[in-house]
Amino acid sequence: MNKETRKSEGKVEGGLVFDLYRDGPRVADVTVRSERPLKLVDVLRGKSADEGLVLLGLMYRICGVAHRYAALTAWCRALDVEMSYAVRRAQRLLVHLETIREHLWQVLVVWPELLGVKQPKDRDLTLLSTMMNEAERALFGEGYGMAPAARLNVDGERLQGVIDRLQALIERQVCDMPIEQWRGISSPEWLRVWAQTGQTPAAHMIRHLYEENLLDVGAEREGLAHLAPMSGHALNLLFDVPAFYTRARDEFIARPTWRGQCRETNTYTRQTLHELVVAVREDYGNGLLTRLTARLVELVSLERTISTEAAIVMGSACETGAVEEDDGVQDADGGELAEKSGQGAAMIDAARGHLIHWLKVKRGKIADYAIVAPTEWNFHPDGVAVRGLKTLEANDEAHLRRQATLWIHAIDPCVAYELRVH
Amino acid sequence: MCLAIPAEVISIEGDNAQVSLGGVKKTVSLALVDDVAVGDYVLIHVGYALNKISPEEAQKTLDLFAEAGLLGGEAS
Repeated sequence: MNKETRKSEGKVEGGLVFDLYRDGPRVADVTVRSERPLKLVDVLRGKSADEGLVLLGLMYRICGVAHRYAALTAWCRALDVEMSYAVRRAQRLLVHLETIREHLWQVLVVWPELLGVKQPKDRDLTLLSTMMNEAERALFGEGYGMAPAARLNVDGERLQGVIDRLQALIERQVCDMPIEQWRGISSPEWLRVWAQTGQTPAAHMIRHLYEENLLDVGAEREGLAHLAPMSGHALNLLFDVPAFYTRARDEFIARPTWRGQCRETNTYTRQTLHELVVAVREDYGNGLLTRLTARLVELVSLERTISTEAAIVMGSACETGAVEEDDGVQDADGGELAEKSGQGAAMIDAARGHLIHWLKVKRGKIADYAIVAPTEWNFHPDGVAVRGLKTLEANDEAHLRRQATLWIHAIDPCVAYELRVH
Repeated sequence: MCLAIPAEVISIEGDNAQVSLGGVKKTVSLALVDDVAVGDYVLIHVGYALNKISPEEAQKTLDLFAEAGLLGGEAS
């Protein structure tokens, strides 16, 4: 390694800075400033699709699978090519696995930290660092799973091994009971009983909210509208703009709104109609308890989804042979991909909400690229995080900080942040 | 945005490691990774080592960040 680097990790990955201004027990105002490097994708210009996808994988490591999947989907749409159904299904399985990993990161690593619990090193947690690479290898062999020419090369035993370890981790360290039994919790009363008796970080966190009367922290009567899926046509219009509109485009990438309004997109918006989430919201509004419950609900729901999806992928591999014979990508009109041009967009469900990728290809090379991540919607200056912070009340700064910290983590930025109280 | 930064492990004490990012030293948790040794490269994010990566992959990633203007130094 011979490179000199002078900026700190925090400056490279960027971050969020929150300023809370108190007026007595209330919060008079909140501002959030983003220092995130949103123009990083400019380095992809002039690169081929294959090269661009590899570079994206190197750049975006948090939700890296979702980024690569969104990029590949946008690329396929730009050049009107199709990947095989089985490959797409396997790729979506990887995205689901990554969402589980991000939830487990919050529940098993961040929540104990927030509770001030110093945990001894637990070898089971190393699964969080190895599972994505292991799963991708189990599905695609040593090939790259998110590439135009990806081909299935399924090692069913290896894939099942990852899923078995993941299920054991969720059952033992999240639910503290059989997962199926946890899925049966359908009311706030049951949830509270589980929290009072459970011995996992998740149960401790929910119990903490009850004991410290933090259940409705951040709740507001009129929540933000949820971000609905946007059409490729709408996204093309937003990003493919003449030079004199680039300021509006940059504004959308940094502080997105839709139809003139801020929108919310995260685990809570995905699980908003779940029976338990609905019941908790009826009692405590759209505050902390409802949002942390939505995370747990999604975690155990996805545990079932990945089992089903893995069985389908393994079944399809049995039908066609574990190794696909043909290329994963098919050019719809038989043209030479390296010479094709077009533009395409993808909006996919990543762990923290809708992730948008858009690109323009000219003669096989990336001519333009844009990404809008869920953090930009949820941590918009008028977004859900800031709106919740404005509802906080506390007689002392320490208590205010406590509530604000829990709230920010409930919305879940993918970067570090600084919280300043004035 | 969604970034994790490669850094070299320069010392290990218990479940923590001191890493160097272009000469800037930082302490990170090794709670999530196994078999890390001094001289290895790890990806770091909000105080944790997330993965062990090869020196070549670390260099490629840092080159990319440098090309994007996120790092202060020049490749040599």
